[in-house]
Amino acid sequence: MKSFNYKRHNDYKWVMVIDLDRCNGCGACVIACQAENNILVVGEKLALQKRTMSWLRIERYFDGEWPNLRVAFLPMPCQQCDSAPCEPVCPVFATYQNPEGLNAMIYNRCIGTRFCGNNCPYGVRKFNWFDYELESPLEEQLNPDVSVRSKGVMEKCTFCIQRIRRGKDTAKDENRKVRDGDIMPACSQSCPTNAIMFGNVNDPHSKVAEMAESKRRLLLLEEHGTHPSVIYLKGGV
Amino acid sequence: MRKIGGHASLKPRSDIARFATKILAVLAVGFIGFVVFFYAAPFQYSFSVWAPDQPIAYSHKLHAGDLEINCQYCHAYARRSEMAGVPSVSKCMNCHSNLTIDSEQIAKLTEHYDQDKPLEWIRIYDLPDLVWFSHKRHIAKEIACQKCHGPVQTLVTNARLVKHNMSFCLNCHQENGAPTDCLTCHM
Amino acid sequence: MDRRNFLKLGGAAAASGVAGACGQVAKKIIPYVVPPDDGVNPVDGWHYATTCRMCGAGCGIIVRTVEGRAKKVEGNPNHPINRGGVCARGQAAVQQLYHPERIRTPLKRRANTKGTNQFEKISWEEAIAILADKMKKAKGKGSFVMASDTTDVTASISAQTLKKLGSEDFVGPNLKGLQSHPDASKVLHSMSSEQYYDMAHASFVFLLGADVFENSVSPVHYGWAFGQMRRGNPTHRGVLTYAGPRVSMTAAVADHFIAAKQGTLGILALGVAHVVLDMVEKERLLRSIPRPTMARWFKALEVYSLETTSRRTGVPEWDIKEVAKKFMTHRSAVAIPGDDVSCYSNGVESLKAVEFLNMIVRELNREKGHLMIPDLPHDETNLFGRMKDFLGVPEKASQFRTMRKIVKKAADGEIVLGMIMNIDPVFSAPRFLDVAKALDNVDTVVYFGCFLNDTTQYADLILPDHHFLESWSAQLPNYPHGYPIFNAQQPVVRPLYDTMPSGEALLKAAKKAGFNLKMDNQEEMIEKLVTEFRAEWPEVPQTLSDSQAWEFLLPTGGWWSTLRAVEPVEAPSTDHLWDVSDQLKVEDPVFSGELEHTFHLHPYETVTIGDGRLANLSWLQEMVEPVNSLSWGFWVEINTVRAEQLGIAQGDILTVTSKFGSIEAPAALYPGIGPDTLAMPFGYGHVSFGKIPSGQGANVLALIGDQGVGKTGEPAWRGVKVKIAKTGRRKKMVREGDMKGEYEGEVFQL
Repeated sequence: MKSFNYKRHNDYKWVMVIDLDRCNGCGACVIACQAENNILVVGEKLALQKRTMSWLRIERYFDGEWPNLRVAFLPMPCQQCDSAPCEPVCPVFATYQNPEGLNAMIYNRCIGTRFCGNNCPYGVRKFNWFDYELESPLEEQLNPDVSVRSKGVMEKCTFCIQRIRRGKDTAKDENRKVRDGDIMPACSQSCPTNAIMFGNVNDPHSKVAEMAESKRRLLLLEEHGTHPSVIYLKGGV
Repeated sequence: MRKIGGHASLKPRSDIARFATKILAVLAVGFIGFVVFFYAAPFQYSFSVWAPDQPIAYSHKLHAGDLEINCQYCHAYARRSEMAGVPSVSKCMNCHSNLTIDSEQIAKLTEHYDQDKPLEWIRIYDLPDLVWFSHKRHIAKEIACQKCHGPVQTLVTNARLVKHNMSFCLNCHQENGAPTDCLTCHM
Repeated sequence: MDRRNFLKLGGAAAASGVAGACGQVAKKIIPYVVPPDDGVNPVDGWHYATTCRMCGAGCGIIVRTVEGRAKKVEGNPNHPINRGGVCARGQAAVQQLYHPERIRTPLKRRANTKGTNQFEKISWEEAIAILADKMKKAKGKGSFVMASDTTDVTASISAQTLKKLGSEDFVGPNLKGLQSHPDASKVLHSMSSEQYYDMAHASFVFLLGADVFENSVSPVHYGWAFGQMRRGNPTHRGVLTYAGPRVSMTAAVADHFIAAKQGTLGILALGVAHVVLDMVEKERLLRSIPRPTMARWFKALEVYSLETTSRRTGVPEWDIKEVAKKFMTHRSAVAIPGDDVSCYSNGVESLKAVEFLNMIVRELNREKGHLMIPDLPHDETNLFGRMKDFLGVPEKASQFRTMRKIVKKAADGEIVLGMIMNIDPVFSAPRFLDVAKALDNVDTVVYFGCFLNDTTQYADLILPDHHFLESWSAQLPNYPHGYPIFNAQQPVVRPLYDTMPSGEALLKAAKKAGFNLKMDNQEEMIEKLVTEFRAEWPEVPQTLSDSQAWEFLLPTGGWWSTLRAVEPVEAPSTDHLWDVSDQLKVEDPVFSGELEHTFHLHPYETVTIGDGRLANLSWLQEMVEPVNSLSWGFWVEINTVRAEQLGIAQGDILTVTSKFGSIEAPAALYPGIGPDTLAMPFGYGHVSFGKIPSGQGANVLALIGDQGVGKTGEPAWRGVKVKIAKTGRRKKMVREGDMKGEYEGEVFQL
């Protein structure tokens, strides 16, 4: 297994660890993401055309035949790759690698070529085909920290950048570094089984740094050299 | 067939070439139009000086300039949060419950207070949704309010004197070594 | 000024929040007239602790509000039930709060429109006056209450009002859940409520058709317990085995799945118990159990030999032995029964069988010295019981039997006033009860709730309720059993519309009608409860005054015994339960259906919209059913191989017919279901429940007949057989799952 290519020169390198052995597929993270990031519902008609907008989906894998069947769930957010295949194909640099290892997506720069979505091996980028309307007063629920994307813009999981920013902001006020556990993306916060952990892998004492060295570590499509920042811990023993 | 210009040496263009020129012209106009309409910000971001009428003729010159009241007395959230905050009516009434009560404007203010009716101020500075800006961070760096809001203490009617576009932010960030990563402000 | 006043002023906050980036009109800033005492945090907002009421579990939640608007539901990390987690349905509370279809004013039925949702607006004075008048008329003449929760202040008020009206017909919300449980536990455990199964501290869990992560008493609590069991212990990974007829979401995460025939899980439990006892004898364990008792057990289990059990349940002998071995070798184990145990004709006996297995296992655990959270009937001082008595929470009776009684009375014209609190019995009760006809026969039906639904079609008066994020309440949740929990519920936003909490409306009307109730208003009642019991709550500093104590409890979300809810203790001996051998007899299940009905019907609640109460929330509609990857709609799951044999393709609309009714549904091909089983979700087929769910799919309850679980009077809603026929039509179904990439095999790799 290849070793990680973390950006060691920065204070922070955000990493998500998803323990597949804990995940029970309940979908709380999906709705948490939807509520936090103003992801709008597209409706049955557009969902039929696979134009749902959710940034995080739970995949399921079946193995074997009835009754000797094995099933596994796999929550799939943007993998925030260190060498992301989506980045080099963007003609306007709307998506790029941020110093903290996040695969940034700048909506106001995006011109909607959809090259990035096409190049993403994980299929986690979503394109706004339409402006989605909210019937009043549903707009009251929208999170003011996150912009509502409009038609023609590509979007994807940000590791809840608004929460990262707020965590760093508070840390700066108190003249310290972000502590382990200060920042929790919406999915990780809501997870009933505590399957999703988030933190700074450049902090050797953080929980994710410890988990990242686990023997159960699994990186999706590692052989493509994407160096994802989402580390899965395999199920089973 | 029509001649183009007076030069006999110039061969008249073929129909196809003329058609192509037309297409190109249409495309060019279309492209410029697209760029203008796509990127041109709505009007309140694009004009620099803008001074709408406010429900109460509040004078920054009088309060901040002549009386030298600290900005953060009224905009109390500025040092604590992302927003500067517009003071509540009760804050105005701290002084105006017994100060200049005979003025017409203060009578209006008192009426709002008594009837529990909020004031609806017109926003002067506004950033689009896709920008994240924190007053707290900038005040912690001791950046003067005037740097972004102009000489507010000289204005009788508050006006937008500074255009808050991306280059305005970036210039300052670059000069002062502040982060210029896109994700610093955009999300 | 206190917190309450703050909320009254909150609505005056700035309206600039999210107006979109493209406004051509000048935006406004609208500051407070008077800011709240605890200041304003304009951007990060305030976080209020309250209680989630999307289902009855009673999870503690923290709601983030910005500028007086609720934005996000987060779990309360200190709450003993959900421990910081929150499920999809809980998150959707904010969508329910801001739902465009909420009822905004009191409504009165237009003349001669019963059976439709046609109403005219009236004022609250008029509405309360009508209700008071009807109450006066109904006194002593027959009335009932159908409540959405049996453990909160509203339930307490409605039960008291009902008593004043001279009736005891109070029925709770869950008409088709684990209704036979109380009957079985009563015999084996002398308890009247759900048991607590300590999954968190177990190293082996045997789930018998228990979809604990989907529709148990508290899916989030079990989710937490599951995480703890699997990976909470650094040296030992917990093992989960699931037995049942369908791979549900819960079964999908199990390490081993055992396919058992419908309704035979009780037999399987006794078969496993038999093997366990054999091993116990061989290894000379459980010497504390008297020999004669042991001999009686063996005698009772004689007929559940490995071979017979295997034949009757369809489970290979090897699998039964494996489970028994795990019970023997793991340090701590537990068996959890679910709907697939209780919802057949032999439900009660099957539950007893599982409890018997649990009893042996518990003795084994004790012998291995493992500590677990026991299921106490009540704590030593019976604090919780006294708290419930003080609040006047109605005793939990068999809800289905009460429902039957009410419907019969109504049909006989013996009911004058019916009060329905935020539930939809016309939709959620089985068709054979014909609740609609019964309600039609009631003189006045008053509906308290947030949305118009199938039931309001028969209501005469509609009193719009506050959403739970807008109102005060207190709840004493039944789960985890025996541990006292006081859930405080506070408003996080100012009420959006001209609504009134149901409890308060009832109190007002009762007062007007001249009834003398124990309390004047809801909040007073809650504060009284705190004053009465805080001396016994060691977590609340005794130096505080009563109002300070209340302020202290609000930000925590209520009170619970931190010590007792977390620390496992040695389970008490169960020797008083040992003499049950004469009750260990599980018959083969009886199914209602003719020879032509070749499929078993397996109705189930999805983790998305549940029993249909939340079907009008688009977040949950678009959420993907975890195992069959469908969203937006109704389906009938059929085994993939069997479907191919029958020439049925994904989306082919089938007619599913039972002895009792017939409905149509598009086929969903699913590998995780037996070839003789069809699974259909509850919660679809609303008639008049707003834009999204009305007319979506059909109601499975139409297929279920009045066949009882033993003599309990509960319907055996999984004991139905059906047949299918193709209609020739086809529906496009929303299905997630382009499995991109080639990492499929890796997930399973060790």
